Amino acid sequence: MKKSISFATFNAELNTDVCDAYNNAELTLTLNLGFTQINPAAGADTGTYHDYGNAAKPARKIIKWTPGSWAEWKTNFVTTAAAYWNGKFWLVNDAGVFTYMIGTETYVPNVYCKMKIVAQEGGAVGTHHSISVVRLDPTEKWFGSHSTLYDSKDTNWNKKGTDSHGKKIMQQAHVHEVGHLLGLGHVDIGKAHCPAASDTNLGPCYGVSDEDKNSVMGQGMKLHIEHAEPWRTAIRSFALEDVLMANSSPTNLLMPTSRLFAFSSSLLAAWPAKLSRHYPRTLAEARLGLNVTSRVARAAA
Amino acid sequence: MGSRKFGLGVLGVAAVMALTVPSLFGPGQNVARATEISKECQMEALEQTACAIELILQDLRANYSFSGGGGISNIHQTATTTFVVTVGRDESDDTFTYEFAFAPDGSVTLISGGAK
Repeated sequence: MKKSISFATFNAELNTDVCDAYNNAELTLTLNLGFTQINPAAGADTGTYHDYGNAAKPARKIIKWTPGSWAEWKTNFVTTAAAYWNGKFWLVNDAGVFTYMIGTETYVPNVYCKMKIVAQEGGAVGTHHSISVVRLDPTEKWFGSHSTLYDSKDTNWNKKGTDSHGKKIMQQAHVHEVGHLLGLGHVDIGKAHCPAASDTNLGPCYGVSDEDKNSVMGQGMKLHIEHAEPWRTAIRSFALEDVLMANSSPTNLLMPTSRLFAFSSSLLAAWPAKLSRHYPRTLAEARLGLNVTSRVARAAA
Repeated sequence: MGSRKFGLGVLGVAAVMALTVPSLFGPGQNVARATEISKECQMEALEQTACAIELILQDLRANYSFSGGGGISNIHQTATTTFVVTVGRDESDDTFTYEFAFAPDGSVTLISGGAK
């Protein structure tokens, strides 16, 4: 089974055709990004552009994009950002949905979280996010970018901070920005020093403790299980749809109680995120709440 | 208008001092928390505000936790004893307000604010 759901900020596809005794269902989120060049004014080769696109802020030297540099930058952006986010999370199926049989054994698949980024030109149909990009002059080291205004050096590694031991905290800005595009906020939002109702771009929102500073949604590159939230949001929709479809099937009207149970179970499921591989479980293992984190012998189909 | 022009002049003085007084402005200098620092300055307004900016720069070096970014993009005197500093960073500027006491004897003391 392959099913798709379009969300406002990404598309999601669930593929259960890949499921077997060792392989989980795959949930792929696809971001369609519409990139638009920002070039020097009046067709010039060089010019300036202000930080954050705000004329009151300092101007930085920019140069004209060429077809080659534009294509190379987009490819690098897409490749490296997708590689960072792809295949990092597993969601444990506590809803008991998407079951399948191999031989006489019923399996409950977990969900392997995948990520795809499609670079489109600005204004293309199906774009989830529109992003303008300046090409910095080689002499410029930094530009004030934000979630919809990038610069050509946002894919580079940069020192963003220092931890309590004086160790550098490095980050590639674009993977952090992709986190925002997926709907993730800064690491410390909701804590006392970064109330959700205030400006969540203030410095403390990027982490105060070393652990939080090192988060990809802080100043670093470390993933936390909270960052699986976009996939959890998507899988809840698929699971709910699966149960609703089953309920609406005339053949299932014969067993309304069990279906009602499955429906409530799906609504209450947490789909806990994990940062390591969790193999499909047998029905018995799932009922016992056991996780299978290493490859165990399974009966052949 | 007058105070803004004056503030920009002070920035120039601070920049000159930064180049000529490396012991005050040297990189990696581990200074105490700026709220504990006061400086003995000449009684001229220009010198007092220059002292205030030196204290601001020391505080930023000691307590501003972000690296990279665009550095200081603005130091603005918004009231006689108040300065607002803007530091460029990805996604947003950081803005810090410093409140000083300018004593009749010329000393300048940071009484509130800072980059921490």
